[in-house]
Amino acid sequence: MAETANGGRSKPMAPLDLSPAEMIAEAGALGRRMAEGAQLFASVRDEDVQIATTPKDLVWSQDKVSLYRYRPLAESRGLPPVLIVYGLIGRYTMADLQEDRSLVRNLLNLGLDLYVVDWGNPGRADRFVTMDDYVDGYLAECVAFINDATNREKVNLLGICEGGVFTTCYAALYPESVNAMVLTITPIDFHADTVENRAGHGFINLWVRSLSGEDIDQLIAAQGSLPGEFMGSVFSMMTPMRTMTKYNLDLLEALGDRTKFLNFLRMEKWISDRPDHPGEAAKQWLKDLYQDNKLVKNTFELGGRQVDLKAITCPVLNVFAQDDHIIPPATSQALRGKIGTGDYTELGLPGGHVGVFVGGKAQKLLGSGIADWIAARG
Amino acid sequence: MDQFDAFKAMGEFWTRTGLGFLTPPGMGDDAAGWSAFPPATDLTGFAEAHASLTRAWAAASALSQTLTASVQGAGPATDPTAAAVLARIFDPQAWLGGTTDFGAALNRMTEGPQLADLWQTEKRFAALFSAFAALRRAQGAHQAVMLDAWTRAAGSFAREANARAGRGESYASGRDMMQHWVETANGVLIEVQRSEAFLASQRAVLKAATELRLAQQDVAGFMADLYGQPTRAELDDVHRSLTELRREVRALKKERRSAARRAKAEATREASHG
Repeated sequence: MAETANGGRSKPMAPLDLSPAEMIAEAGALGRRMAEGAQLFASVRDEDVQIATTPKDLVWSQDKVSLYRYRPLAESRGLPPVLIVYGLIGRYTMADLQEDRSLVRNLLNLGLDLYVVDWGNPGRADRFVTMDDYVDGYLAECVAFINDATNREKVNLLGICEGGVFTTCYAALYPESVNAMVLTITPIDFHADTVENRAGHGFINLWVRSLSGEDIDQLIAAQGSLPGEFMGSVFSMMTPMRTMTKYNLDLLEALGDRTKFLNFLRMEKWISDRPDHPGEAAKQWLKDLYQDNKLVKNTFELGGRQVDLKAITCPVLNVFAQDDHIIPPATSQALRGKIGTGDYTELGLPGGHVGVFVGGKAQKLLGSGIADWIAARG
Repeated sequence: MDQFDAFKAMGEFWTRTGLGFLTPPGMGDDAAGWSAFPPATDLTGFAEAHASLTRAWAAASALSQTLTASVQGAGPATDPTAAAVLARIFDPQAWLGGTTDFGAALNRMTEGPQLADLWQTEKRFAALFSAFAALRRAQGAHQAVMLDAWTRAAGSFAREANARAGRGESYASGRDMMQHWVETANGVLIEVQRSEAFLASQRAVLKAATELRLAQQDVAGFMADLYGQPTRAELDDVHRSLTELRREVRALKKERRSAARRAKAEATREASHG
């Protein structure tokens, strides 16, 4: 208890010591914000929060997999086409979230010929689809189609996250058909989360290693897949308080600005579109890669063949997010010195895992960085 | 299903089927087949876990109330809305059920069809009940870890808030104070999530949830078979065959494409040689 100057005892100060007028003012501001927010909510229509709106055409499909070609937005630079490959956790639409935050649009505006593969919505019936099927099967088919359609022998690959692992494996298995490869936020050494050991970073690596191989087998036997909703909850655990405050404090903050609010909703739309990861492919992802770290050890096998990183002979641009808590930079940067080419470039961009693609500054740097790098290797 | 409903349902089930289940008519302990049944649920462990959680919960609730009252200052709260908001912020409940979607996602994964009318399939039902109790036990142990984390975060926040007050400083607004709580709690949670205790208890929950799901599927498969419906295992067989067939078709197409390319290259070469 504090003493007053005259030695008497004063009333203790409370940590939150607002006067009634201050309290009324704060409550009033909150009330106004909520009323404005309610109005904003009511005014939003579906078309206001559309994502992945860049025009494209379906050019090939097989089973649940679809290949799209984007319509050009600028004069072609005559470079080999670029195939965007996202992973099975989340969807490629992150690369085209909204008109002013779209890697796809940025690349098209820079004159690239762009394709994207959509893995569709795998269900329980796809339990036995493996990474072999995705890389050696569907991805190889997409590349073959593009080569036929464009009368070329090589494509440029642009892999994102798990999709980057797919393209890495493909480039190692079929080096003759890859002109250049861009990896973004892609894990190569799944145990390199321990290099920096930053608080809150690399939790998925740690969490998967805390499970046994049998736990994962049982999970897949029971579910038939790695449910998207389940993976979403694991991602939420990585930012625990953000998850708790997202739909109250953060939303309240966004409600003050229509643009900010619509961005918030578009991001929510992308997050909620989380397909299930086919079971057998998930086992390979979690056990072979996250647990046993086979990719960086050159012991990972697809289609009965060893994925040898040294077999990658095309130029590689490796883009990582400097503050990526899902794929810590060291897990991506581990590729340096492990491939069979000296044409290896790293590009570290400000922001987190998703911020690289949608953050105001980073996504512009990403688009121009990729286009310039590819143009130099056309 | 929330915890209350789960316990209520379990109680009802136990009342209806428990006696008959434990002492089946005409079957003593030595009766043929009884020893092959899965062991009865470890109710001692369940009760201990529950008692431990209850004690931790009581302590956390008391701390939550004290915290809410203390940040409002001594004496009655002047603003009932603010008091309610503070109570919500410091409610440890959010750390148990609503901290993340993880628990809810697991619950949705395990709460499949209600199979209460299938209790006559004793062996399967006993396994199902055991798996259910094991999941609750694992969830209780995990909740105890989360409560401990909450208590640490709340204690840390209270110490800092009181120290500020002692220095004659107070938060400029409720939002500022909330921000401080969010940062404090985030730091503690991230640290706890990397701890052995958290990872082990969460792994146990995942394992138990998976085993419950498999036990449910076993019962469902048994009944499906009984009524001539396709079972999960049969469907999986079909899906496996379909995937393998697709793989073969893809390989054949690839081979045909390569052959066509080779033939084209050969024709070009022959044409160029006249």
